[in-house]
Amino acid sequence: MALLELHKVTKVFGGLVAVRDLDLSIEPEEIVGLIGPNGAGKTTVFNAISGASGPTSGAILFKGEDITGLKPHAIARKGLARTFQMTTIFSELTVLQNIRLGSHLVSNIGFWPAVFNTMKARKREGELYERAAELADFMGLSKRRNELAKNLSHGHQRSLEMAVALVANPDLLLLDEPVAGMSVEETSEMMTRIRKARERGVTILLVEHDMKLVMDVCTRICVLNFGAKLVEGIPREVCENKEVIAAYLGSEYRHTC
Amino acid sequence: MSRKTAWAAILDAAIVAVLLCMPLIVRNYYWLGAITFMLVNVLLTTSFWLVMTTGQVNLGHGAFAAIGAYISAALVAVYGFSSWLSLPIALAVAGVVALVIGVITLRITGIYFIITTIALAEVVRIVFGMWEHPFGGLVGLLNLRPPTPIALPRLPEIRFVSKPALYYLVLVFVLLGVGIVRRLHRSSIGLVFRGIKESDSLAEHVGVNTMGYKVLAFVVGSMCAALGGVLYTYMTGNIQPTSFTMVQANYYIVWAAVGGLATFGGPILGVAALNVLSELLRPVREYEPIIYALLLLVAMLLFKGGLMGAIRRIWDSAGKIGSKEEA
Repeated sequence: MALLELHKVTKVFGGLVAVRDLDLSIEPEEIVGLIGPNGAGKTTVFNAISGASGPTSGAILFKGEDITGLKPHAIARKGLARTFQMTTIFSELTVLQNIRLGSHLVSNIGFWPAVFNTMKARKREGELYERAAELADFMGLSKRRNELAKNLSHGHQRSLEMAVALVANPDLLLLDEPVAGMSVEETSEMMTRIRKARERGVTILLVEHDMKLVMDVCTRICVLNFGAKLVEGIPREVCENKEVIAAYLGSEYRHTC
Repeated sequence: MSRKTAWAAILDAAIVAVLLCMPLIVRNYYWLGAITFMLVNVLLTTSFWLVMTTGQVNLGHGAFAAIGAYISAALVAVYGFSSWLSLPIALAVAGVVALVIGVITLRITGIYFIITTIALAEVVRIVFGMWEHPFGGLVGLLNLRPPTPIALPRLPEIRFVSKPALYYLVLVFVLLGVGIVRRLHRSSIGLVFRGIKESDSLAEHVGVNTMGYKVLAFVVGSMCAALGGVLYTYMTGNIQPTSFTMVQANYYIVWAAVGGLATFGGPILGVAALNVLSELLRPVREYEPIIYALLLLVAMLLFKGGLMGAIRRIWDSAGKIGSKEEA
């Protein structure tokens, strides 16, 4: 069974059709790339899936369950996490607090135990912070654990964002331009981490303009153009496709693929 | 226990000890009365600040104090209830009103929420002003009797007529209310509140029912405000439509901001410092709002993090010097 299925998803803003009749299906443990020119509707698709702004029509199934139109927190509860195109973190909180908040869904501390700070709640809190520290290490933030998120470099903030998304062990992770604005080294580190995340059993759908990353990391690619699917296939097929080259990659791209 | 938490525990114990001994230290009843008022203001301001930690500024905070005060006063004065039965009823009513209003208004944020809560404060003031029975209309409820005495078996009856007795009564309730606010703030729930303030949408995407948590903070904050309102009637013996207006809520902002918004202790420090200042400024009372406005500007522009932020910076630099000496 597919992990995520989009059936004829359409999103209309006023008179503008941002996404039209999109069908997409993602199998467990895939890394699927969603690419296309600016304004093709990639982020709109992410917002529709994660519930930030549900689709106008069509259906979205996650693990066989219809999640169309649910609130983001209800969809997150089912095992879906995401990052944002504009870096989004809890800037006035420390790195560890950020990741601790990311584990909200798996915290398992009841309301009253939390308020009364019972032994059990304290023990669980300790475990959660330990786990947060592990994730911080995994994302290369071990020396920044107690720094305020707003004081981190852009690359570190991006890593933190991913740590926050990963800590609750989601089944599907949506990454919106994970390496935008990163240096070459940071990008290659991020690539390694995306692969490692998949080894942990996380399926990934990502939007990215860095074609090297997309072609290297993704097992499958879907190209959007003007809100509709242009082509879908393995990286080699996609980068040799004439329509994709015309619409997005450009004629010089062929040499590097 | 780390050194930091040990110091914090000693500070807590010292503050409670001083508060318990206050009537022995301050023998002047005028000043003791002023300190009792200050305690009520501490409760009102910390609970106002708790809602602020979720990113919402509730200028209708005073309206909930008014609801608490009016309900409890009317139940006792008009319907002959015991103070100790009317108090929980007043808090429950304020909680239910906060729940209904919270569910409707907390969808909006920022300046729009502030404007809505200004309207709420005005509506509550006007409603009580027009409601003759049992709330006394524009005049309000005057000459309320002191809280019902508590009769314990084989012990003398506890009356709440003298200033020290009232002081202790208020102290118990304020410690309770402020204690609840502090526990919430320092728990994982408080962390969620702060996360919502930083990014509502990220909090949603990590699975936080942000609406639920905002309503929770709003209801707890409003019930603490109602408790403050009830204590106010114990102190003054009256409640009027003008007792808690939107102007009052502006004082909570100034107190909290001058003390420092980043920590739990900041607003308390702000209330303490500015209430003392208010007493000193008594001869030029009419200029108080101007002075407060200037202080707010100074706090925001020059002292980052208010008084508490300034103290922290001094403390940190002293710590650095200390550690250098050790090395």
